[in-house]
Amino acid sequence: MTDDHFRQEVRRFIAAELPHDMAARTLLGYHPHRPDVEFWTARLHARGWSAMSWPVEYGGPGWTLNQRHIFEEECFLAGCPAVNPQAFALVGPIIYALGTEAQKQRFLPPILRGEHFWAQGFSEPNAGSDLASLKTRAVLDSDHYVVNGQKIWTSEAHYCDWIFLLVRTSTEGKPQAGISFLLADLKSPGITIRPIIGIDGGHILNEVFLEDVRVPAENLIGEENRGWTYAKQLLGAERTHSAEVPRCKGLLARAKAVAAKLSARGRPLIGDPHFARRFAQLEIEILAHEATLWRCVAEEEAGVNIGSPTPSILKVKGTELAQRAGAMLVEALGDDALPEYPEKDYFMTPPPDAPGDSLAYGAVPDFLYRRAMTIYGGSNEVQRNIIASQLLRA
Amino acid sequence: MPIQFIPTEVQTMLRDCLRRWGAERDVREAGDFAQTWKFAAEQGWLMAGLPEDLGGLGGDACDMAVIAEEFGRALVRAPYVEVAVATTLLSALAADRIAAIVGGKAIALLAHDEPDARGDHGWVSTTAVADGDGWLLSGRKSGIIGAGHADSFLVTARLGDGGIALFEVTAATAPLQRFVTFDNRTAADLRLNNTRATMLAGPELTSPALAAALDQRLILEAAEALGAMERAQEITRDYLLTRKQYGHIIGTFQALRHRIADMFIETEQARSIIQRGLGALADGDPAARALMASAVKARVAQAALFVCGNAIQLHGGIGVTDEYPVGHFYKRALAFDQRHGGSARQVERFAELSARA
Repeated sequence: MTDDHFRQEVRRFIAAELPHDMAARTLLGYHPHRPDVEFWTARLHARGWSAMSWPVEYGGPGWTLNQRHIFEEECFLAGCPAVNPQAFALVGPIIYALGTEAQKQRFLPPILRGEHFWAQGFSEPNAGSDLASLKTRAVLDSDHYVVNGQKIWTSEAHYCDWIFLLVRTSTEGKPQAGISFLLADLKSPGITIRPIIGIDGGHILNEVFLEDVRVPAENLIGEENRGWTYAKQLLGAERTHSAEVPRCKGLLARAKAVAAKLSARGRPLIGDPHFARRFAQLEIEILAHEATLWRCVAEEEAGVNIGSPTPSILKVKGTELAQRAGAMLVEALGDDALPEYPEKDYFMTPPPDAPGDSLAYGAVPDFLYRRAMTIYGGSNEVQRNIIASQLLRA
Repeated sequence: MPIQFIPTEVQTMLRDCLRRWGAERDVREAGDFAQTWKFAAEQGWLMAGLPEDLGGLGGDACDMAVIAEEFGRALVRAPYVEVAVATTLLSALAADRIAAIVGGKAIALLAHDEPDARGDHGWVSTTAVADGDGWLLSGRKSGIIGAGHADSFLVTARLGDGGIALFEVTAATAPLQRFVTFDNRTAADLRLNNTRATMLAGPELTSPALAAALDQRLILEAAEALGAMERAQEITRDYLLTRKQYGHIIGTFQALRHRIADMFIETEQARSIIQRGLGALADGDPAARALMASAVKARVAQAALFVCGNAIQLHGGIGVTDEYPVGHFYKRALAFDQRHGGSARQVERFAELSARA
C-alpha cells in the first residue's frame, strides 16, 4: 500500500468512528479527559490500531515508521484523543522487551484495550534533569518491595491505574547503578496523589507520595539495580517520537484560520504583509524540521546511518517550533486571547455569552502548559549537552 | 515521487571523489580556473544530472547538488552552479548547445537578474528590438558570477508586446563591467546598449523553462552554501578541541558547547530542506516547486549566516583574519544570502505564493 493510500484509509476510519463533538473539544487544546481517551482507544483497538508502534506479536498493527507518522499526524489534526502515552510509548515497550511472560500476559492486554492508564514515576523534587540522584527507596521484605519516597510532575496520575517507578534499591557504586524499575498499582495503600495546578489553570500534573507501599516482587522489571539501563533504553526507543510535527502543523493551521477569520484594521490579519511574512518564516522553519524527521525515518527504515539527525535535534527543534507556533496563534487572536477560558467551563459546552472568538477557547491554556515541552523529556539544555558530547568526542 | 534521502551509489562515489579533490585545495586561494574546469569536465561533473541523449550522465538535480555542496566545502570559485543552471535551461530550449558545455569547451551563463528586480523572478526591464535577422538588447544585467570565463550569455529581455524571451549574446560582443565580489569571485554586470543578440526561444517556451531554472538555481546555490557551513562547523569543532584558555580546552565550556550544538542543528535543518526542495524540483509541479525553492533559500541562508557567523565568534580574533579560513566561509554565506534579492525576499515570495495557493 502506498503512503497516500494508507493516509486515505486512516482518514476514512477517523471520519467513520470519531464523534464530532469529541473531535471539536479535543482540538481546543485542553488536557485529555479519560472517558474520551478510553472511548477512542477502544475504537482503535477494535481495528487493531491502538498500539501503533508495537510489534505485531504483542498487538501492534505492523506499520512502517512512515505509516506511524502518517497515522499520528492524521489523528492529531483530526482531533482524535491521544492514547495514554505513558502506557503505549513508554511502559508497554519496556514490558514486551524486558518483562516476564507473566508480566506481558497481565499488563499488555488491558493497555491495548484502553482499560489501564499508566503514569510515569521518574522525577523527584531533587532529581529532575539529574535523574540519577533520585532517592525514593525500595527495600525487599520477603516477597514484597517496601517503597518510600516522593515523585513529582507525574502527568495524569490522578486518573491512572498503574505507575512505573524508578526506585533506589542500592546506594553502592555510582548513583545510576542502584536503581530498579518497579510497576505499582496506584490503588495500593500508602500512595497519596496531590494535584499540582499548572500555569494554564488546569490539572494534569501531580505529586505522588509513597509511604510504606508494598509492591509485589514479581512486579520488578528485569533485574534489580539495572533500572537505569532500562529507562535509558525506554527513552531512546522512540527515536522520532518527540519531533512534535503534528503539533507544529496543527498550531500553524489554527493560527492561519484565526488570521483569516479575525480582522486587523479592517481586513483579515492574514492579508497584513508583516504578519504574513513572519508567519511564512515560521512555516518555512517547520518545513525544514519536518524534512529532518522524514530524513530520520528514511535512514532508520533503510537501516543506514549517514550521520546526522539525532533524536536530540528532533526534540529541541520540535518543541521550540511548537512553542513559537503557539505564540503565533496567541498573537493572531489579539484581544480575544485575553479572557481566561477555564477548562471546566469551556471543555464540553462553552457558555452562550462567552467573550472572544470560539477559535480562542483553549489556545492560551495550551500555549501556557506547553512551556513545559522544552523542560520535560530531558530539558533542551540537556539535549544540547548530548549533541555537543557527540560532536566533541575527540 | 518520494524524496531521495539516501544517496545512490553513484552519488556516494561522486561525493567521495569530489571530497578528496577538494581537501587538497586551499580555500583561501582562487586556484587556476582553466585547470579546475578541465578537471571537472574530465571527471564528468559537468555532465551530471543531464539527460543521456544530450550527452549527460542521466540522474537529476540531486547529483548536481552533491557537486555544488562539495564545491561549497572547498570554496571553489569556478561557477559550477551557474553553468549547471544555464545548461539545464539550454537542455529545454536549445539542446544543441549542450555538448560543448558538458565537454568543458564552452561556458554559457544566465544573465537574468537586474538590480531593480530584488529577487522578483518576473522582473525584466531589459528590452529587445528586432533588427534585421537579429535583435538589439538594452538594459543592465547584474551579478553574473564567473562572467569573465563565459563564451556566451543567456539573456532575458522583454519584447515589444511585453513577453520575456531568451537571447544569446556572445562574449565577444558582451559589454562587461567586471568586478570581484566580496567573497573573491570574479563577476560582471552586462551593460547592454543596443547589443546584438540572437533569439534562442520566444516567450511561450522561455516562461516555464526559466521559472524552473530560477527555482533550481535557488536550490543549487543553497547546496553550495550547505557545503560551506559544514566545513566551517568542522573547523570550529576542531578548534574547540585544541584551543586552551583558563587551563582547559575551550570545548569544555558549556556556553560554547551549546553554541556548536545549535550550529549542528542549523546545518541539519539546511540539509533537510534542500533535500525536500530537490524532491519538489523532481516532482515538477511548478507551484509546489516555487514555494519550496523559496523556503530552501530562506531557511538555508538563515542557517548559513548563523553557522558561519558563529564559526567566527567561537574562534575569537583569529576568525576575523584573512589568513584563517572561517572568515572566507562566512563571506560565501553572506554572498549567498545577498544574491537574487536576498533571503528576506524569498520569505516574502513564500508568503505571496502561500496566499495564492
